[in-house]
Amino acid sequence: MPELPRLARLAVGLGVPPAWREAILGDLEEMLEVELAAGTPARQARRAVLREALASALDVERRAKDARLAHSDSRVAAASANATGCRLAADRGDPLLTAFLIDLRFALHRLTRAPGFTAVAVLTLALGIGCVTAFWSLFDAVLLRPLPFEEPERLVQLWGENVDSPGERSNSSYLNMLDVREGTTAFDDLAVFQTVFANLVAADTSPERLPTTYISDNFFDLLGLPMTHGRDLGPDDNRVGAPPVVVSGTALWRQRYGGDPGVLGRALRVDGVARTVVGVAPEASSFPAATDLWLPVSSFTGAQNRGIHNLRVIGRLASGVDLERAREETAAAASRLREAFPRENPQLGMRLEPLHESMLGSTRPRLWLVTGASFLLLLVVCANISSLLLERADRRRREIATRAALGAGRAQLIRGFLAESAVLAALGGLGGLGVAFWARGLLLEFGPALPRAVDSRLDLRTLGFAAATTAALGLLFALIPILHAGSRDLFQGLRAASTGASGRREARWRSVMVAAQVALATMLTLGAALLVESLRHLHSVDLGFEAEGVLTAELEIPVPWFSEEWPK
Amino acid sequence: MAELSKDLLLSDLEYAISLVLLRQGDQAYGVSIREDLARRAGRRVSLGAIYTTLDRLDKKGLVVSRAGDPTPRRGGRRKRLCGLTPAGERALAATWDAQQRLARGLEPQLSRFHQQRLPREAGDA
Repeated sequence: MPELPRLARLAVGLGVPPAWREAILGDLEEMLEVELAAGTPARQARRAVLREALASALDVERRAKDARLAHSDSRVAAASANATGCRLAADRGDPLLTAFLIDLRFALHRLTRAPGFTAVAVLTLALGIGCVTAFWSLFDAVLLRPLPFEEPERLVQLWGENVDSPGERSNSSYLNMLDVREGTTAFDDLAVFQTVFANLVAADTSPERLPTTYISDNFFDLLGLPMTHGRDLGPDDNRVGAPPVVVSGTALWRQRYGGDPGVLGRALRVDGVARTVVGVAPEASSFPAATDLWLPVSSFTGAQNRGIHNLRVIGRLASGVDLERAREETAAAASRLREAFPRENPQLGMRLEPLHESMLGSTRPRLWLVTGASFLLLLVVCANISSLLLERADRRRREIATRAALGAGRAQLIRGFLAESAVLAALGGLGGLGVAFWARGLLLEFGPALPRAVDSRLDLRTLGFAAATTAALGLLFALIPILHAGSRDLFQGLRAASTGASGRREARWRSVMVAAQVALATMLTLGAALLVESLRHLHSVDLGFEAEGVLTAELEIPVPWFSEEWPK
Repeated sequence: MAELSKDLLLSDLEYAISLVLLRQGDQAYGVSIREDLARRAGRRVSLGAIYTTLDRLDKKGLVVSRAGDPTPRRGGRRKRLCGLTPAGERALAATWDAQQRLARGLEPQLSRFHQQRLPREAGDA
């Protein structure tokens, strides 16, 4: 007599309680007999019996759970409500959203029942995410974001250098720039600028020293920035003997004149000279530095002297012109200037760099370094929280096994873990935003003066980065309890939990985590110590004289003071 | 009408199986119940579902079971023969009565729905 398929017997053996096993197996045998007697091919008959066995085992499982749950006490029901609640909700046809909200609610409940763990995890996460976000906003503003000008990739900076020993960059002079502008076709325009301090005396307020930039004509036009009000400085303003004018910076305009457009035409006394306000500078012009006053370069010291090289030069490449061609043309122009004016331009060479590169200088590797260090810190945070989560998963083995026995399917358990780590990550992310805000303030105040650092802000891009980091961490942390639960038969978990026998694997992972954290933290601490040490060395360099008790003072005297007309 | 207790009214599958038990006397067992449900009501129920329901009825005191004789046909395993207890009979009657009263007056419509259903089904088969 043909036997029942082994799989059928296995299914019945696993899924059906012993009380009915015999009866069902007997029924299955009878079914098989009947089928064969009716002439069904053996294979088909066995398959039919197997199907029946599997269906029976599943049905028994499902209905048994339903029955048990219906009779269980409220505490147990609450513990497994997550499982059945979702299943019932799904059965009723509720959307997935309801199930997800139930998961979230229970996740919050579980986390508030472990306040110590939750507080430590959230704080640590906030620190990690906050630091990384703060450094990232800096990194983004300085290195990644394009300059806020029109077609910034066509902007270049022109430096002077010694043609015989090139290497060190130097400034240029106004007259040289004008000649280069005349003698080349590679540029749409060139302009000079330099930032210093000047005295502003107004009738109603005390004198102030304000950052001032001297510019040649069409400076803002070259950058492609529209004026907030009024006009740019033009070639007429830079003629010798032209009426003195000034362009106000936006911040100063708002502060002093309340953003009143009627500021045009008013008089400002700058360095003893009465100047008429002809325009308000574009808002985005924190290049070259935050400036309050913009003056025509013709009034800058030595601007009329070709030999005084104290100005910086920027230019915009003409369309279709690449950097190589521009370099060739400027080299030719430089050699012409060398020949024509040997006294003022000894060994004059010229160097062209893209503006963004020029601004960065040596800060690029430094910025990579500190941003990399902040990611290392995040790694330490991850290892820290991972070991916390591992330990927690270990302790909760019994609870998880009970829930599984009461009907929580694998999918439900995984959803529960995901919800928990999502809540943790979200809380950590929110805290991280606060930390990022504070850390960014600290960085700007005490950190190295990076170009464009002030342009960094916690805007959508940075928030997006923080959100992405938070989400990635949330997923990562969910994996830990999932893998932990999946690595063993949950039903055995109940027995193992009492004996503590399976703790070996977790203990090994924890050791790995701790070792990783110690290694990374040591690296970071050593790096920080080295930096502090080199800073200390700088301060303790022998100056050659006794510096203790000696004060220095700076006195800024406006240039016109030395002229004849200055009232003494 | 006095309110019937929740326990007295049978669920859908409990009702169906109880009817089969009534019909088959105390010779009902897994395979026979399954066959009856399939033949008379067109319901395909697995043995597991049948036994779970029988177990539940047993716990409620509505059904008793005993072990039958082993037969070589079943590989030497015994049948589990089930029958209704008096309480089970009362529950069955109460459920039947409740169903009747709910459907009272609706027979014309119900048979019309059923007639409409038949031709389509014949076409499908």
